[in-house]
Amino acid sequence: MTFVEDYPKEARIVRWSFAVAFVALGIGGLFGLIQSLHRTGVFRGFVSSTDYYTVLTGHGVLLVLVFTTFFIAGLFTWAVTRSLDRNLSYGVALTWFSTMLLGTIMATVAILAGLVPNSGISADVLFTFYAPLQAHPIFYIGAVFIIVGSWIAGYNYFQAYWGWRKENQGERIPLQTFMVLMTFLMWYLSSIGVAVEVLAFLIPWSLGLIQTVDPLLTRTLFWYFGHPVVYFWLLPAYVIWYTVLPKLSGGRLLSDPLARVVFVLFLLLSTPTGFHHQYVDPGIPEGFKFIAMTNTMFLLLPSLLTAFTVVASMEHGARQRGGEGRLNWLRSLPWDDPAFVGISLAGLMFAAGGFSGMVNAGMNLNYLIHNTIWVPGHFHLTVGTAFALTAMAVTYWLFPQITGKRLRFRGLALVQPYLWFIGMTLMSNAMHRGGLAGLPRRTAEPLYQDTGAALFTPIIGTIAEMQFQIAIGGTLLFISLLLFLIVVGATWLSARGGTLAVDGHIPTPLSGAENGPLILDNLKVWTVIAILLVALTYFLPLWGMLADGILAPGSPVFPV
Amino acid sequence: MSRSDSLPTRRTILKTIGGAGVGLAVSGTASGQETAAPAVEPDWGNWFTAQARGGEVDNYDGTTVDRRGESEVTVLVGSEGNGGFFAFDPPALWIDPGTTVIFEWTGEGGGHNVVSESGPAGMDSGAPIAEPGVHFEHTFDATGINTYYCVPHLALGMKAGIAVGDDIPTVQVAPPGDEEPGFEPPGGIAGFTLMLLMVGFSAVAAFGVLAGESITSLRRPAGEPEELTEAEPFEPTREIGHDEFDPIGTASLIAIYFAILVIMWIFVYFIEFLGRGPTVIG
Amino acid sequence: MEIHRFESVWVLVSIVLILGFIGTVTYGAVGIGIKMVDDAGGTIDDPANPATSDAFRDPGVYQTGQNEYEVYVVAQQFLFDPGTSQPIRLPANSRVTFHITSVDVIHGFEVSGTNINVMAIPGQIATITVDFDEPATYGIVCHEYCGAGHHSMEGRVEIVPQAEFDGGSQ
Repeated sequence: MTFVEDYPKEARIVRWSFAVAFVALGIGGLFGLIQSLHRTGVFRGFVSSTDYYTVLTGHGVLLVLVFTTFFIAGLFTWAVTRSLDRNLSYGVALTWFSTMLLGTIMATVAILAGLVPNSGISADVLFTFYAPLQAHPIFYIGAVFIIVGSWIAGYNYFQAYWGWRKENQGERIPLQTFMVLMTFLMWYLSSIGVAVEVLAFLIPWSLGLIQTVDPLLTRTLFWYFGHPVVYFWLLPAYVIWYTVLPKLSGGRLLSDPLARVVFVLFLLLSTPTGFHHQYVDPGIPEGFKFIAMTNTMFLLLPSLLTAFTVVASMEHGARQRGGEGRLNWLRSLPWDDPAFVGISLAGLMFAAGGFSGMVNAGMNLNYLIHNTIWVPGHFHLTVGTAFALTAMAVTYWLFPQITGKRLRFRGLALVQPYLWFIGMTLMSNAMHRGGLAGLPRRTAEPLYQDTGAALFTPIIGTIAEMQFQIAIGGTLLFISLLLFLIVVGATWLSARGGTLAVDGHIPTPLSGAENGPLILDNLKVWTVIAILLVALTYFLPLWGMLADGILAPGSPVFPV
Repeated sequence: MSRSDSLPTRRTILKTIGGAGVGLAVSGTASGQETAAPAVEPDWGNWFTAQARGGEVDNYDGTTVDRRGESEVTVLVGSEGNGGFFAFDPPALWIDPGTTVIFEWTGEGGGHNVVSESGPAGMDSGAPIAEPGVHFEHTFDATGINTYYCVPHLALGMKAGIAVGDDIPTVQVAPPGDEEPGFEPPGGIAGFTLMLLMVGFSAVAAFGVLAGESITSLRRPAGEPEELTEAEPFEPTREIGHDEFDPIGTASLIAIYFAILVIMWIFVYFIEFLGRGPTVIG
Repeated sequence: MEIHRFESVWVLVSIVLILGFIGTVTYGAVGIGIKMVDDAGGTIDDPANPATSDAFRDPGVYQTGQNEYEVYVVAQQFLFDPGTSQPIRLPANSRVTFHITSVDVIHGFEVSGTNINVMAIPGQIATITVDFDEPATYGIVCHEYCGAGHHSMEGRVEIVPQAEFDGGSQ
């Protein structure tokens, strides 16, 4: 039986979540196209350079806050329901969905109103909304609703788990549910930072209830959240890579316990690393930055382990398909299956993005690339491909199961991930090289006009050629996105029924959960250790910032 | 640190492309001449257009305010324009030699100043000031065309000009709207053509697949909706159990990845980073 | 818990790699002497008026020793003072300490082509010391979004030969 027939209500929640996610993806992607053409000087006719920042804010918020959170909530609804073989509370689901949707509408209106002349509302503060730049209060309130809605979604999953636990004492938590719960424990722990920042400081400040906020403190609270949020995006991709990709390859997951270990490591180490986004901030002692660096470097370990486990599972599938030889088995993989292609290319690009992440983590090495366009080069490989392309590709496999409709335009669906891969390779390599040359990020016109003022010195290639690659890459990415939306839209509009090309069966791992120590499933222990690590990393620095006054040294509002 | 040696070459290329763009714009203006137009304007060149630094000045409507014959003229600093209070009013002014211009700050739009870009006047009102009132005056004795701007708001287009005297370069009144946003494809014409071709081919390919598939895919099933069934689960050609599986391919791939990581790290840290000039040592 | 022996090897190799990264960074810090900007610069109670604080002075270049200089830089929307209206001029072979702050919103301060790259946060002073050996011209770029005119916020640092520095204006 397909998922939509077994769990119609849950399937509906997944569909609605995906619908909001894909609309946000479409608008955010269009903004990305506008940016890549404007910034590189190819075409500046869409918006003025001042409005570029409105577009940039929209691109960031719609893609990494709305698209991600809604897609993840939908994906996890499917994963928990399926792996526990149990219904989720429909009322709770409707609550989180409507809360998140309300927040999304508020924040999006606040941002887009910045494009309307004389509207008086704008939120041109970018996805990081650093004080003392101030957005309209509606923006902050909308962001709070999105975060709180996601907390309720987590409750939806935990509630189902507790119900399952009562009837299944002593059993190992099914793998997908385990991963969901660990992701959300990390999410709860990490989103406290931004919740405090926005509720205690930014909202009262933007409403005029308090006069000043300490920019260093609010920035630190943001980055307390800002690093683990990338794992909130990455771990769902890992859920797919560990549980779905082996099946698509025709094989079985190499090791269930190792997957659990990886998720435990992420819960422990994701949050105590936030200072690596503040390596070149004044006001933070070097010792704290060093600790953040070592934590971040050790956080490489679960990802490196994932590389091995996932590729080995793919190899297993290839060999089960008849592949032979040391590397020849790669050709036996199903390169004509859009879901497989997208997910494996996403993994490949993540391996490259991981390297630029290692550079970002290297404390003093950060002087080389901080706030240059290297950084967007890095995160377009990670959230922009590892997450986004995995999301699009798994949709090709999951969507028929939650709608009961055969995938339409399968040819386009197969082209789409390859096109994304080419576009991202062009754009991202140029961004990395541009960053090494010193080109800044978050700028509407990176080639400064004052003669001789900004001298960018690439080692390989020229600035003009890098700009050109970014423009081409961005354009190809947008076309790829359009293909995805066409496939999903056409499938959605088509008739239900028939024999699907996919099946939802997930084979058991080669090494099952029973081979891992019981303590892996002890959520409480890991949560306590995670809290301790966060306290160790953040207590002293935050104390230092608060000791001279919670709101001091304070800055008044600077409305954009 | 002597990387700047190689730079003039690349900068020259960019400037040449920019210069070509400027040349096109200026000749565009000149070709707008009408045969029987009596009015002339000071020749501001491209100062008020997107080709000059700071970009377009949105409170400049193409005309110059003619205040010749007066001994004192006031220019407002921080009047409404350019997305806020980032404008000089009037942006284009024509006066006689010996006239004193009184710059009066409106108090809006933050800190402004008055700094010459070109021309004989050589003005510099100093650090930006935000308070209202008269903070700067200048008596223009020399004949010529002066352009000036506000330093912190140059990027928003806070620019203006003061033409002094009758014996200055002028143009016939040209129809406005000749200023196109600078369109300088970074790869040149060849690069731009290549990009159009790539985008065009992708679009054609997508459309082709779309058209092909729509003939087959969207046909609705006749009669009752079919019963829904999933595909059969995959049957492997050969089953490989836990004990007989050795991921040697993975080991090779991971070894290659490891080597790449090490090489790239050494390159970035020791060559790019440590090889770069001044570094923070305290 | 059983792990395939290949993967156990990879775990060890990964840990060695991670320790290698940490070691390289530590070598950069301890061996070469690269310091991160920290809280030694001090804070400013009234961020809009940094010169009122004991830790800051009026913006400009000050000579404090034989070949030692201190430069006080204020970043604001949308210029660096000094840096934008007039370039920051310093002689070659000098040790320069920058004190950088902002009077309004968060800005960036990057001297492109070098490893000088810090944030200018209102209320905080970023204090960094750099050795300039050879004459060169560098651009200063604000790389943190600070408002509508962010993309024009730039400046210059000119390192000139000692003779030229003494002869010209300071």
